[in-house]
Amino acid sequence: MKGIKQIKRLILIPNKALQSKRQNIKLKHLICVILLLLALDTNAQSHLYLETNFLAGFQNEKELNQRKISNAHYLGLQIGTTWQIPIRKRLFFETGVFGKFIKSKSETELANYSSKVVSLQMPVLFGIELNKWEHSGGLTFENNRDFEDMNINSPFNLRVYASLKTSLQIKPRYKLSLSGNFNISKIPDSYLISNPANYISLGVIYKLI
Amino acid sequence: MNTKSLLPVWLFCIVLISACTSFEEELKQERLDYQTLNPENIVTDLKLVNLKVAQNEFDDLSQNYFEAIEVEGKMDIYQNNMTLISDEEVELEIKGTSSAHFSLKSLGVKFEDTFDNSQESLISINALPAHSLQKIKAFRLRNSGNDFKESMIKDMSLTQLAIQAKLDIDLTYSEQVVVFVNDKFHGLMNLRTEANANGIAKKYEVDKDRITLAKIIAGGEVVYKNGDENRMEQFFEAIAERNFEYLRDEIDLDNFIDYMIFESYVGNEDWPKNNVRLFSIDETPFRFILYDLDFVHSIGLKAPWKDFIDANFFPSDANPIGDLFNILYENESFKIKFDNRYKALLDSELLSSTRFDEIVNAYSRNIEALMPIQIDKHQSPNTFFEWNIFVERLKENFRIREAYLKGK
Repeated sequence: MKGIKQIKRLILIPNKALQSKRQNIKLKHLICVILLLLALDTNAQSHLYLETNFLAGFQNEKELNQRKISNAHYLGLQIGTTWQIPIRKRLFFETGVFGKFIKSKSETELANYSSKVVSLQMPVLFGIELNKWEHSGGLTFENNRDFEDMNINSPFNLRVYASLKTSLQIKPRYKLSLSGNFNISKIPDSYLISNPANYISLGVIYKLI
Repeated sequence: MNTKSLLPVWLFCIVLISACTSFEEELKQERLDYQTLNPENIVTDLKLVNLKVAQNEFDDLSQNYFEAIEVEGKMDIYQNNMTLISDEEVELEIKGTSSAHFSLKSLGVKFEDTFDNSQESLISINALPAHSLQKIKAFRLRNSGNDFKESMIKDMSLTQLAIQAKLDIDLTYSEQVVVFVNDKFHGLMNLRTEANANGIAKKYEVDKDRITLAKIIAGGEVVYKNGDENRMEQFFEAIAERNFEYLRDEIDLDNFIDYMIFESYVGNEDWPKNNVRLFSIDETPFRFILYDLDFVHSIGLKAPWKDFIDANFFPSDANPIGDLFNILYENESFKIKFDNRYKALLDSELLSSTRFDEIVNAYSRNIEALMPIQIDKHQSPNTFFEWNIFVERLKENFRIREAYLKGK
């Protein structure tokens, strides 16, 4: 029996780990290909922007293992690039890639907690240009689990925000932006303790192309 | 192509590499030092198991966990300053498969003579009416298996749900304990009865040689463990030959139905191609044992119950128990019986998330104060914060699966 046990130990774990890793690699490859296509599919009318935003998160009070969480603060930074592609006249489509960093602090009666979350975001917005103002809305997709924990057979791999964004052109290449993002995915509370359901952001946009 | 237009790709790659979550914490109560903790100064209502062994032999056992090493020693058990068991002679060996890699390893503990548990000094659990915990030959000090790095209470909480629901299931019984080795803190563990021939024999108060037992290990391979191997071989041949009448008569149908419902209801990914044990006492029909539920909820929270029975997540391996179920389920009268029982259990509160929450809350409260010490010693999980998240997620996942199966 010892022989059987040894074989099982050696074989069982890598099989599961490998399957999960393969799924993650496939997912990452797919996203890479989409981004590469986005990068290639540009034309003279579309614009590439670099964006930097400061974030403040907020949500309803949460509980963690029956302990009320209090004094929760969520602050962060978001850096990304967006493609703005004209559709017709003043209407445009906007997408891109963002890295979002959120630092949270909270406490229960037992401990003070803090956490740092780095996640990947992809907004898909439609907007309108009104003189120096731009207003857009749409969805922002974000990895809800860390990539190493993702599994195609599990829920909550992604979260989706309803996004609203307003920007004002202050110089030929610079804009100020204000946006609000509200989680519309059904995600259990345990995923929201470190990375809040909603956040507003304020930032600067620089026109690269 | 403008080089600037590749910026999103570079940014994506950078974020992908750095995407992660990290946790820090500061406990409001003084953090106890596990190195100075001993059975006399620890404050807990849990039983304290103190294993007294030659330290070099125990270290050798822990380091060479793939080898068939047994270490002799003695065991004390205390609770609330009372000595329940003193100087009981035991043999120790490392148990578990993938979980044997962890710093805290499951230990098999075998008494030299059968232990009389009539005073509940070893394990005090309300067993199902058909089971007895009066005599115990061996037990396991379990590290919670693959849930060791997460909640530490998944397997025992789910098993307790089945016990409280009074399902017609054979299972193991667990109790949370604090284990010391030579008076030094070893870890929080789950003292669990065994699902081997000895464990079954004692549970049913019969001789071990009356037990026929087989298990299915990873990959769907059948391993004969005890008793009438020819009968067991015929049984698995009947599955291969799809012999419905033979199979119907050879298994305890009520037990099989409850067993299949529970495993597929909770969603055990590491089953039925692994972690299956079936046994018979003399010529009685085979019954199935529920155990090792550590991989429940790991995938397929919103997968149909049948996906688990058919082992659709790992379709390449042999699946004799899934085949057995499908042979029986093709029969109209079995199908009606199974479906009605499934519906009745879903409609009742017996397997509800409300009940499960109560069980999880009680088990997590039992070890909450000691988890920081466990984490300091074993770094599993990494922080008290994450342990709380894993406990919360255990309850959330159960609610999600329940809602899915109830069509909510």
